[in-house]
Amino acid sequence: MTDANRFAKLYRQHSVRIFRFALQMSGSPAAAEEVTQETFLTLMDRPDLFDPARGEIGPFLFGVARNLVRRHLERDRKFECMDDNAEGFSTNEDILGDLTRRENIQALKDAILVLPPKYREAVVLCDLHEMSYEAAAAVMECPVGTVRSRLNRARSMLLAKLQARCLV
Amino acid sequence: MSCDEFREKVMDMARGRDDAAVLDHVRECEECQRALLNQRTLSAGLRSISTNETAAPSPALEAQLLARFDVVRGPRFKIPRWTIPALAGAAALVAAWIFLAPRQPLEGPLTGSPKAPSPMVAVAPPLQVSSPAPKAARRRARIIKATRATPAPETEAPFIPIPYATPLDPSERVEIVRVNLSATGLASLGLRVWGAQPDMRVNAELILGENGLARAVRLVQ
Repeated sequence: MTDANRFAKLYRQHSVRIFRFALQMSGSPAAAEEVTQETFLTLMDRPDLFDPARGEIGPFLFGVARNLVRRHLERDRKFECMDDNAEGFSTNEDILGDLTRRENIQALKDAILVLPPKYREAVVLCDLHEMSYEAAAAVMECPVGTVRSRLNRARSMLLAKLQARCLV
Repeated sequence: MSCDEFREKVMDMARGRDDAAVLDHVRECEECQRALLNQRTLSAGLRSISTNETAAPSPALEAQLLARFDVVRGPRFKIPRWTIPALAGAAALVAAWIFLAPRQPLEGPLTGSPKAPSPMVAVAPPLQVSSPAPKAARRRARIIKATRATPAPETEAPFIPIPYATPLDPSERVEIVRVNLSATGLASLGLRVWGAQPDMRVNAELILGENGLARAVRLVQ
């Protein structure tokens, strides 16, 4: 198999996940497309950046995409982030809504998009992409414990946001 | 288990990691039971986003990236090694034929200069657009001696695949464009021209693939 065929295979294996990650982080299909393109251009132009000894290609591509998304978010501050100190661990509310209903799903997506980026990426990687804490830690370039605490915090913030909308 | 310990474990519990101690605690603590339910509801919502996600990059993005890869790092399909000695042999035969064949007086120029020698064009076999992989036998070089005594009606040669280009896919949409090429331009498409003047130009047609890259060429006399 030639390099180009290997590249095509890699693209088909990983591009959808990379695109969705960028979309879930940015909320913009155009930005997601740009991030996906830049991620694979990085792999094409700088294949030396990927060291198989340090891990698999998937987390590497997520890492590249994460950096590109963060750059995009800094450049284009579209969403007003939720207060980092918002108290979210409410236990006073009963379940009021069904979070699998379409309108509530959209509300949940919107709530994810206003999380501060460091919490947002924890939710997107661990909950939406079902990565292990270890894999997410490799992408986020932080210890596993930090991933857990950010994810815990992010989920509390999401619950607070949704409870304010009476969705949970 | 205390409520504080429960709070440390409730997220993992809601994400599918069962813990008997947590379950024992929520049976006794109504507040923590509600908290676990909320977390599970959140997990269900997040799973629903994940499973119902249909967004994907546009197909054009893949085509753009692969076309760029072809330009930057070479074509997706390598020319088989055996073709190199075969082509070298064909070139030697052509050279021998040129030097040993009896010379004929020029009857007229191909274009432009009246002193232009009769150009010899070594070309690959014709391309069938519906067949992306030309067979080995078709790759053998053959010689076309292009001489024209009088202006002839326009004739079209068969399409010749460009050696370094990605073969056409049978389902690929193509576009044919007519161009006027120099000898250097022909050489860049894999057609070597012997005896051509530097300023010689010929009309040709190119097959462009969906990505806009030339895949095959034919001379139009």
